[in-house]
This record gives sequence, C-alpha cells and structure tokens, in this order.
Amino acid sequence: MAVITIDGTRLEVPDHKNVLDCALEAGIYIPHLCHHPDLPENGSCRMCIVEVDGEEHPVASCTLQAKDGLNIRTNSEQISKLRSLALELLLSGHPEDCSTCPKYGNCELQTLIQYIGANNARMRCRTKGFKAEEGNPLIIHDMNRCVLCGRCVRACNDLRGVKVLQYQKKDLETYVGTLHNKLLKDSDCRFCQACTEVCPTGTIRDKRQLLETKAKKEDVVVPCRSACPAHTDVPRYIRFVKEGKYDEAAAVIREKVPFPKALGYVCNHVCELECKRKEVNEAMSIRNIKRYAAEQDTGSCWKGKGKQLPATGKKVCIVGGGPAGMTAAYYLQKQGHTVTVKEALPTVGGMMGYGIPSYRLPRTIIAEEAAVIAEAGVQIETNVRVEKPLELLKEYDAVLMAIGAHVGARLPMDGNQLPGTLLNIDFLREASLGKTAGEIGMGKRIIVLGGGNVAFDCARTAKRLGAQEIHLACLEAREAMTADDEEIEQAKEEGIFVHPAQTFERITGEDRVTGVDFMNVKSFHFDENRRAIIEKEEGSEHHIEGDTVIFAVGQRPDLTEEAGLELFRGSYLVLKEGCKSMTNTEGIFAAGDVVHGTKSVIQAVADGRDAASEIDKYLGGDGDITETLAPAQVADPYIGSIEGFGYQERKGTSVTPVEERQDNFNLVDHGICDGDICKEAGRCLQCDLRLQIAAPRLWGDYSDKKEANA
Amino acid sequence: MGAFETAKSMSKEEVREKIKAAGLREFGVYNQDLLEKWEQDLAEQKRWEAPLKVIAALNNNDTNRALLALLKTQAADILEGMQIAAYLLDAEGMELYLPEGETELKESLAKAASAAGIELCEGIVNVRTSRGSSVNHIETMAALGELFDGRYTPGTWMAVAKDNKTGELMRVSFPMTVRDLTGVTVEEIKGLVIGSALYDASGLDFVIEKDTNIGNGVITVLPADCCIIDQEEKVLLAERKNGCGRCTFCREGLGQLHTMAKEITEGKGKNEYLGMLEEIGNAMSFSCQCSVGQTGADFTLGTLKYFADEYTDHIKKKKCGANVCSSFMSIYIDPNLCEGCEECADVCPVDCIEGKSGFIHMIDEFDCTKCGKCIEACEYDAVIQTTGRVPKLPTRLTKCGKFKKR
Repeated sequence: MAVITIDGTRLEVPDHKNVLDCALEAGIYIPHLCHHPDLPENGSCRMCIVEVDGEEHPVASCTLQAKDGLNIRTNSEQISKLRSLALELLLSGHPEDCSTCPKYGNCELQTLIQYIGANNARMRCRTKGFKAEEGNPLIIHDMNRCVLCGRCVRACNDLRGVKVLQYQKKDLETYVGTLHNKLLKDSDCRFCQACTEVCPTGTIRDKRQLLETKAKKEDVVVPCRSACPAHTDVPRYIRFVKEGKYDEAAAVIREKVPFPKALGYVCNHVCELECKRKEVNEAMSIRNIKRYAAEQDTGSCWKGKGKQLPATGKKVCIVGGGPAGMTAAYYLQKQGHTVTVKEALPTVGGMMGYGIPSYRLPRTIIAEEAAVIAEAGVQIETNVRVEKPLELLKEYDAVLMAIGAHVGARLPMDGNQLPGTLLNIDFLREASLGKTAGEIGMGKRIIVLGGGNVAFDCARTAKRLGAQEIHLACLEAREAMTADDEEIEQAKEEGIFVHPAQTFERITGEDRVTGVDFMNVKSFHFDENRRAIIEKEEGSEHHIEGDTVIFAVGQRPDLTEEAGLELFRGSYLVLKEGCKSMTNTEGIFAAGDVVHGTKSVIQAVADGRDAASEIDKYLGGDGDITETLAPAQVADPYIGSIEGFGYQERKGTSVTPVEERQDNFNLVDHGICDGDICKEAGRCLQCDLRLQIAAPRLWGDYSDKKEANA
Repeated sequence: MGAFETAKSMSKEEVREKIKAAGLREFGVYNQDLLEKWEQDLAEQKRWEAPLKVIAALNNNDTNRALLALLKTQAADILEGMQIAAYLLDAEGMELYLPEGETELKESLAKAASAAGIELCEGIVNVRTSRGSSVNHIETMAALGELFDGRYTPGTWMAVAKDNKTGELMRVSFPMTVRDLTGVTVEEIKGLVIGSALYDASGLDFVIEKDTNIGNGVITVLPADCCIIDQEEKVLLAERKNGCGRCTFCREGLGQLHTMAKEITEGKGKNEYLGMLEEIGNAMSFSCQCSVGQTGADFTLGTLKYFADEYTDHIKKKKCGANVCSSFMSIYIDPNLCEGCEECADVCPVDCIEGKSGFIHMIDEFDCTKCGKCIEACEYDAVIQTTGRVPKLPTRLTKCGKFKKR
C-alpha cells in the first residue's frame, strides 16, 4: 500500500494503482477522456493532467502510478490552462453540431466542454471530410466526430482480442478504421459492439439508438432476452452450449421456464426476430439451441436443487393444466403452497397436447416435463371439468383460471353450419386423442380456411389422417401470413395447396359441403378500428371443390356468464386494473389465453410465472419466484477473431423427408445435429458481454459529493 | 569471438563496469548516461509489469534518417549490441525497427537478425505498446557492439544537410564546433538546425560535446536566401506526416502549428498566431509521449526566438523578405513586351492566361498559383515577377503594340 495526497486528502491506495482511478474512487473528480476503467491506458488526451511535487511539468494521472509520498494537485492555473488547450485542440477537428448530434446529452466530450468551459474559437478549425460509414450492420462510424481517444481501438484489440479497428492515416488525418477500409464483416468483426459502448462521442454509434427508446439499456443491448416473454437468459445458455455444458445450459433455461424441451420444439421464438445477428446475416437458431440443451440435459444442475420454501398451509387450485396453469402450479408449489391442478382433458399440457400435433411435439415430452411438476408436489386431477369456479373458493385460498381458448371460431358465412364443416381446435383435439378420419367426420378433399400455424396444423394433420387433396386459403397475402415460413414450406412439400389473398364468399352444398367460393384479394388491411378493409379483384370468383371445410380462424375461451366471473367480448376474463393476473373477484386469478386470446406457449409460461408471483403475494408470500439453478458463468470478454465470422450461416435442422412423414404422426424436425450445434452456438454475437463494460464516470456524478465536501 | 560472445563470457557486473569505464551514452534525442538510462528503463518495466524487450530504433522524430546508414555499415555491431543489452537487462525479446518502406534494408538484415533472435519491425516505435521495454538508439547499440569488440573510440556520427541534400555520415570526435563541422561562414547562412532545434547563424559557435543532444545527428544549413517561415511550414508538414496521431498535442498541436505557418506564408497570418505558436509549442514539449511531439515544435520555437522579424514581415508588412512565399508576389505580363506568341498560355497548368495569337496576354491573378512556368516559357522576358507594385495592365484583349497607358 502507498499513501498519496490528492488536493490535501490523504489516501491509502495499492502501490502502482493509477492515480486517476485512486482519485475517482475517492470521490475526487479529475476530468478524463481517453481513460476507461476497462481498457489499458492511452495517456493521450491530456485531460487528466495533475501537478506532482518534484515534477517539472504536469503529468497525466492515468499513467501516473501511486507511490508512497506522492503529493498531487488536480487543479491550478497552469493545469486549467493546459486542460483548456488540450480540449481546444481536440475541438479544432470536431464538428460544432452538438445540438443535432445523436449523442447529444450523453456525450462525454460535451460534459468536458461544460466542465472545462473551452471552445474552439482560438483554433484553426477544419472539417475532416470523412464520409460516415453506414454500410455496416448494427454500427455506424462517423469519423468526423472522432477525437482519437483510441478507446475503440483498445476495446477491439486489448479487451476483445478481435483486432479489427486500428489507427489509420489518410493524408494528414488520423482516423480509426479497418485495414484498407474494408467493411466490418469482411474484416472478421465479431459485432460485439464494445467499440460502440466505449466511444465517448457520437463517432461510433448503434444503428438502433439506445437513446431513442425508453427501454432499459440492457433490454436494448440484449434484445433476445428482453423479447422473450419469460426473459430467458439466451446469451448465457448459448455460451454454455458452445462450451458443451448442456446441463448448465438447460439449468439456465429452467430458471425461467418449466418446459424447456417442449419450448425447444415449438416455441414461436420471438427472440430470433430480435436477434442482432439477423442484421449481420441470419438470426441465431435460438430455439434449436435450447432444444439441443434440453435434450442433452441430465438434470445434474437443477434436479432437487431449486427453491422449495416450507409449507405455508395455503391451498391453491389451478383450473386448466396447460402451460400457463402448470407453470403457475410449479412455482406456487415451490413457494410452499399446496397446489391442485384440475384438467378437463385426459392429460395435462393444454394446447401443447391437444392443439399442436404430435409430429411437431411428441406427447412423451409433455408427460416428461409435467412429471417434474408433479414430482414437485403438485396434485394433478385429470378429466375434471370445473363448471363453477367460485365454489372452489370454499376449499381453496386462491383459484387460478388458466383454461385457455378451446372453442374454435366459425365464420359467419353461407353454409357455415353444413355437415362437413369442422372447427380447428375440435379437429386437432380429436386427432390428438387418436380418432380416425371417419370418427372425426373428415372427408377426402379438405379446405382449410385460415393462414396461421393452427391452420397449417389442421392441413398437415388432415394429410396424415389420409386426406387426398388439401387446400389452405387465407385472407392475408403470402408475406403477411402469420404461420412460420418453415411450416408453410413443409406443408407445400407435403402437397398441400396454399392460396393466399382469398376472400371466403360462401361454402357451397345442399346437405353437405361441396366446396368453397373464393375471390382474389387486391388489398387488405385493418383500419384504425381494427376492422378489416378488403378490396376484391373484380371477376375473380372461383370455386374449389371439397367435402370438408375446417375453420382455422381463431379460438376463444370456453367460458360463459354462468361461471359467475366478469367477462369481456363474451368469453374472456377481465383482470383487475394494474394487475397481471388478479381478477375483480376476490381470490380468483386468471392467466394465459383466457385473458388475452391465443398467443404462444412461452407467453403462457410467462403469464403463469406472473400469476404465481401475484398469487404468492396474495397468500402472504414475498412473490419472489426467481431461482438460480445454473452455476456462475464467467463470460470471457476476450473473444478473439474468427475468420469469416459474419458470414457463418445459420445451421439447419434435419427434417424427415416428405415421403416418410406425410402419412404418420412421427416427429418431423429433428433439430440441429451434434456436429453443428457448437458452430451454431458459436455464431452468437454475445451482446450481453457489452453489459460488463463499465459506464463512464462524468463530472455530474461527482458534483453532489463535491458540494457535500465543501 | 564476437562482441556478444565476449560480453557473455563476462559476468553482468563486469559488463556493466566496462560500459561505465567507456562512458557510453544513449545517443539521439534522449542523450544520457547509458547505464543510468537502463536503470530507469528497468524501474519503468517494473511499474508497468510488462515484458521487457530490448528495442533498437532511430528516434521517432527522425525524418531525415541519415543515421539509418549505420544499419548498412555497422549492422553486425548493432545486432551484437542489442544482444549484449538483452543479456545485461535479462530481456525477453529484441526488436529492431526500420522506417516504413525500407524493404531492401529489411531484406538484407533478415537473415542475421533472425539468427540473433531479433524481430524486425517497421515504422516508428509505438511507445504505448512498448511500455516496459528498453528503447535504444541504433547508434548506441552500434557503440555497444564496438566496445565489446575492442574497437570503440568516443565520438558520434553526424551529417550536414545543404540544399535539400544530406551529406555522408562523418565520424565526429568531441569537442567539435558546428563551424568546423559544416565549413560554412556566417555570411552564407540564415540559420542552422541542429537535430531538431533551430538556431540563427550564431549556431556556428555551438560546440558538440559527448552530452549534447544532437537529435538525429544532422546539421541542416539554412541558406541566407531562404524564408524561415516557408522552412517552418515544410518541417511541420513532414512532422505531421511522420506522427502516429495518438497524442492530442502532437496530432492537433502540429496541425495547428502547420496550419498557422501555412497561413502566414500565404499572407493570411494574424498577430495572435505568434502567441498561439508559442503556447502550443511550449506545451507540446512535455505533453506528448514520444520525440515526434516532444521535439515537434522545436523549429517553431526557434523561429519565434531568433526570427521574430520574419513574422512581422509576413503578417504586418505583408511581404516575404526572401521573396520565397509566392502569395506576396505578383506575376504579370508586360503589355509592352508581349508578342502574343501564346507560349505562356500553353504551359499554364491552371489555364489562367487569356489571349490569342498577336494579342497581349493577360494573367488572371485570381486563379494564378504563381508556379512560374510562364516565366520560363516566355522568350521575350515579358512575364514579370515582382513583390512591388503592378503597373496598369490591359483589361480586355488588345492587339500587341496597341496598349497605351492612360
């Protein structure tokens, strides 16, 4: 240890620690620009100069190391003159456009201008005349604003080991760029954006401005995690997968969702829509990485290790054993409550078991994951239909309505009641229960109305039940269809005819369906009242013959006023204002599709978690259902360079060939193979590494303290 | 036995003693006792906890590169010297820096360097990534090699530059006056640059001792008819090109100095520039991390000290005493001498001479760069260059011989 004196304050600090950090940590502000706590010192900007006894000239405090007896002054006439001069010099090549700069208000240079009070008036000013480089994904480089602090170069070289950004010289101007001014992708950039994070000015910026959004910084920086309704820590588990630590990866997923494997098969992966890698070439295959981890998982990290609070004596009944209900049940049980799930169907799983066909999600997986929940102590009663939820309150302290949306919608059109018309969810449920085409009432020529994933599930299920000709028609144009692209492609491979942009005029037939009349849609959109505005193509009437029509145009909850609960739009449960699951009926909570209509499994899980937290609080708990299952992960910031990183393609999955899959309910998609999984995980940009980088310390952060000291 | 072999056969203490006895010094900008310098290097290395390498290079500010010739004449001594230094300092590696573009020299050294375990690097030494290393002048390493080969005699290598040409390296023994070294007289010169520092003609009395900082070893003779500010502009431009651009005071400071000097030569100088030149120049000397910035303002500070009147001429009197700065000159075509041959118009690179065959030609002063090509082209000596007043000239096409002064 060394004792140094800064402005009369004696400080005991480690030997060799740089004086700037010593001062900043002791609450003494010294202006600085090129210094950054996570980077080696550059000692170039001359903002942090101090006077030291025995030194003829002021020295930079960032490269001055603590030594016993150092006596340092951070301010004097000489220092302020030199600091001003340094800043004036920096400003001589910096544009005077603060008010229109995207970094306005968050610029470290700007705060220094305010603190030091210098401007460029005495200087010979120049415009550097660089063209802002906007051709790179995610990152904008505008070298005109650069003051050559070199933080980005050190971040890229020393912190990350990527070594893409270097000092370059063009004529008399120094600038930061890639060798031969190549695009970042062609320079093997890893797009970690550390350069963006450390840039004190508006030179290297995020294309998606952090400042323009109201969202929290970490949500914008790591969009996959914030996009996931359950906020699964995607970069963390991808990193574990890359390291081959599948148990650890699965534990990360399990920290947020009790159905990792099912989600690995069928999650609608909104995370991938937000994945920043998408801007570089293709989004990460996040769902399939999750699936791989879940399939390899032996449970060593989480089995028997999660949270289990002592029994509270409170009883909760969950109505409906779908993902929302089961998730809530699981976490409530862990909070110490006694939980019973009442499921109307023969098995739990909800839409996972009766909506999503088994060729997409094998039923054994649902049973396996439900078993974990049952093992946690949750009582599961199947084939129990709850008609009067209010009566449950006699026995239970709280009731969660998680009954989903199991009634298919029938479009109001001619012929919609004819024999041969079926409803999506009834059709899928009966198929799931193992009924034959005959038992379900399905013919040979099928017309599915609807363009979402459920419509494709119906069409492809019909195929597997033996239909000879299947047409699928929807109102939306091809690019606006809500079904996943791979669903559409696989359906087409299976010989299903897809007709986008169609209006359904009428179902024809006298005593049984004979087909559907369609017209082509010229344009289609929703007006401000969410009414569909459709412009039809004149004279485009045409007819498709069929003996069965399946409506796949949405579902609603199976709920009426008789349940004695407050409803809106006929069958949806109303939540209490400001609550995530509490209803206006004391003791009754609601979660999942019954609240907001059909969404996704991951949304249901997230809703289930919210409900568990709220119910726990209602029952006297603290509502904290978070748990840490995975071991701590040290994410290495030194990621190094990988040749061709930006061009690494998204790894595909192995899919059963069409001729082997269309007549049975065996699994179609087998995920990413063992040989590719590490490579796919290695494509991750690791956006979360950026959050490790310390935030700048501005003089405003110190002014309070200084005043307090004064 | 080679020098390094000899040194290795001795204990480190004996090696140190031998260096001490010879009084070896670090040459170049950082002239000081070599053993003392190494003590400081070792202390720095401890401070940074960085790997210690022995680096040999020219000083970063050396744009003349005269001393680079030592790598041709004494390459073996330099390589041996580096190994001796590495042995004494327990260095982990050795790097020899060559200026950018010296491919031939690099190739000629490649084999011997690699045999000695010395890495050849290009460009100026990055002082930031070389923290913890011992950076030495190649001349120092050459002397070290000579010392352990029993050939060392005190002295240094110098060269004289005149008329934009640098002469051969000369062996100089101490003491030596600049007058004797250059062989020029007071009348012939306006000033002298010794290393990076500028002196007026009194610099001829300068005595070179073993502890004088003579920088790159080059004495540049500035002829009596040169313009000191024009020289300053050229020196600053070369320095700007040489710098790595990391230090604020070097990059922007040199930029400011150069821009101001350039504006002064162009007649756009302002009074307050003098103060700015001094303020920035003084700050640069201690605000930069290597010799490029530390000595970058030496010439400018010398101009302020010795040649203040030239600034007054350029800025206040709007004239260049030496008639070098073209902005203060006018070039015109004497209407009474012009024969209308069109030769001048043909050679003008910016096409600013108007006229046709048999008509008096006229120079558009606005576009004229005062390159002087038209003066050379004119057979009739009709194109005149002057710093004085320009006579009345025709304003529209006029036949030769028809122009009359009104």
